[in-house]
Amino acid sequence: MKLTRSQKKRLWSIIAGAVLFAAGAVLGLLDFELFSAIAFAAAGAAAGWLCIVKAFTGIARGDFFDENMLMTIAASGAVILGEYPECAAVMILYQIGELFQSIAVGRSRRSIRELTALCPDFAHALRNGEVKDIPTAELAVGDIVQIRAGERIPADCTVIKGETTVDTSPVTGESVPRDAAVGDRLYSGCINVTGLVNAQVDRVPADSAAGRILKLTETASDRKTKSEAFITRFAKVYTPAVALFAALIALGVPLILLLANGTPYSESLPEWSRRALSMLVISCPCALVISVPLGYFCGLGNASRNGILIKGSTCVDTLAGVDTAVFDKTGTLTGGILSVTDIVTDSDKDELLRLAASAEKNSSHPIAKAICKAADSTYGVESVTEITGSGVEACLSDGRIIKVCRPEIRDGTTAVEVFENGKLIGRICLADTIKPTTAQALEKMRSFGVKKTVMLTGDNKASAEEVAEKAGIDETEAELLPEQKYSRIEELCRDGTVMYVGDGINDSPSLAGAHVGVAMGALGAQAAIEAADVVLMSGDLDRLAYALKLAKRTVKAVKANIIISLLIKASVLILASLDIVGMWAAVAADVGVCIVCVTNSMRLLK
Amino acid sequence: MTKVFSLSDVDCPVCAGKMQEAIAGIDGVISARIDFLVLKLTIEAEEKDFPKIMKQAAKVVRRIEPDCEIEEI
Repeated sequence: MKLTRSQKKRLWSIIAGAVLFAAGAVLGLLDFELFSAIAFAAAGAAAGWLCIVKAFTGIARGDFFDENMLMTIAASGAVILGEYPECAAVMILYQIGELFQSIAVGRSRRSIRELTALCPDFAHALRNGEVKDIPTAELAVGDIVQIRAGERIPADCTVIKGETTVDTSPVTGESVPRDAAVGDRLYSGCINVTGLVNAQVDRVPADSAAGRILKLTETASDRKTKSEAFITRFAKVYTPAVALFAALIALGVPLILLLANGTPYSESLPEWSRRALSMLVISCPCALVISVPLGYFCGLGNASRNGILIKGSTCVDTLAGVDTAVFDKTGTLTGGILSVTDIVTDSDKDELLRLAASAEKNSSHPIAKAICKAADSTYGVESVTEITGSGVEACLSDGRIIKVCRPEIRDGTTAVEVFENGKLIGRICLADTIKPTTAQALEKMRSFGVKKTVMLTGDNKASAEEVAEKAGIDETEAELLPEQKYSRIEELCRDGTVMYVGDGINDSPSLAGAHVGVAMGALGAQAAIEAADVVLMSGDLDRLAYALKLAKRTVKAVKANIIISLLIKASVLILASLDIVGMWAAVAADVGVCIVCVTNSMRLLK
Repeated sequence: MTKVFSLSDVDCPVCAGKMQEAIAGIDGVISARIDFLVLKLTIEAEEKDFPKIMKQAAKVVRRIEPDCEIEEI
């Protein structure tokens, strides 16, 4: 493990302190009391000099409740009381605690950086016909890059030569690889799995998918949550309050004892001062303050690793409390791709599909694709005429003339009419169908606290209800205009915490109107990323269920951190004021709180 | 304009808060923010003021955390 400069400094002062402490203990056993005391005091000074220096610069700044100040007072107080070993122990333990905290914080920082380090350091740029390795950050729009098998894509770019398979899971969390050929867009951070491609850079690395993810995760902790605000405010009051309380105990109690029982100061002052000094040690706020933001930070880091961008810890809180999930239909619950849903004919249904598919097989129209996918085989075709805007007419090898009329696709549904030799022989109904993961994902969301699922769509009632039934949606409202959608969301917001899930293209008012707006499948869409609170890079609703679960876990961990740290602090405070535990325990508790909170937060990364 | 800097050796969130306050108090700084967990310092100020501000900022952070260094990124 590599230590930073200040960590090394700390380590050496701890070692020096420990050696002197041992010397002091040995001298004490040999009855050299004076030398023993000097060795202990020196141990305190050696271990604590960093802290003492900081305490003085703190005073120079007018900051009297500085953590270092409190520790220095506690240690020097111990010396005045003649408790030399205590003085040394407090400083040594305090420094060990600080070192631990520093290492733990450094480690969680590193793991998050690793999680979000999606871009390669170097890119192979083609310049003047030569391949040159340049730092990724120096890529400019229009540059041609070569991406070899197994490498990460350095910036968003378009393939101009070659074909390959791309693993998008680092960015989207989706595990199915995608094929890419000339003209396809590649997103930075994804892994080029199989082939060698040349691609032209469309966006500089900082604005590319990976760059945007990184930027979002790093600025996500901007907006403070309630618990963060609470703990910061609490820490501000806590330290002076405990310090004041300590002063009261040190000076006030002996005064009361003097007045009440006539106990002389010389007897009561040292004892109560000792208790007060232990309390000063407990008043250090760092462990408290670090516990909350670190929890959120780790949660957000995990989310971005799984293709979920959450804009800020406040969104995590809201997400964890969602009880009403409102979905758009097309592109959200459904895949946005047509497929055959029904066939109406007097003759054989499969035969009708075969005939239609034969006529459609050379067309790239979405309807044609859906019909060809549904048909089991096709007949030979003599000639095909595409009638622009209305359909296709084909002459089969056996002489039959098949005409397929394609009406407009409205609201994700349509029905084509099939004619044989000019006579209507049947209709094929097509609709945008639900994604395979939708129903299961909704079920999962229910187990993570969603009580009501609502679908709001502009589509017609029949197709909306069909999707709703398959997906298991509780309430459906169809044929809504965008502004009606928005006002419906406003109404729902009055009754609970509402999450709106859309594709982020035409529904920015709804995204903004709900408590949490979630945009799906937004790998390349900048506008959606800006409008939403949560962005799912892939179009898989399962990711959303994961996001809800993660939000719940994060909030739970943060709450646990707050409760653990407050409980430990409070109990040690009480025990110290009753003189049950001393300074040693107080410092150990402070260190312990910090380690527990850091470890608990780090669990969220997994 | 806004510039982002990276900080080194800040391990305590309370110290980071104090640094933020101190930097925000420097003449010419419109706003200053320290993100403790990613160790980033964001300063908003007039471009011409930056050299002066940064010199001052280096001094104030060192008064709080002697090993802290500010680097431009």
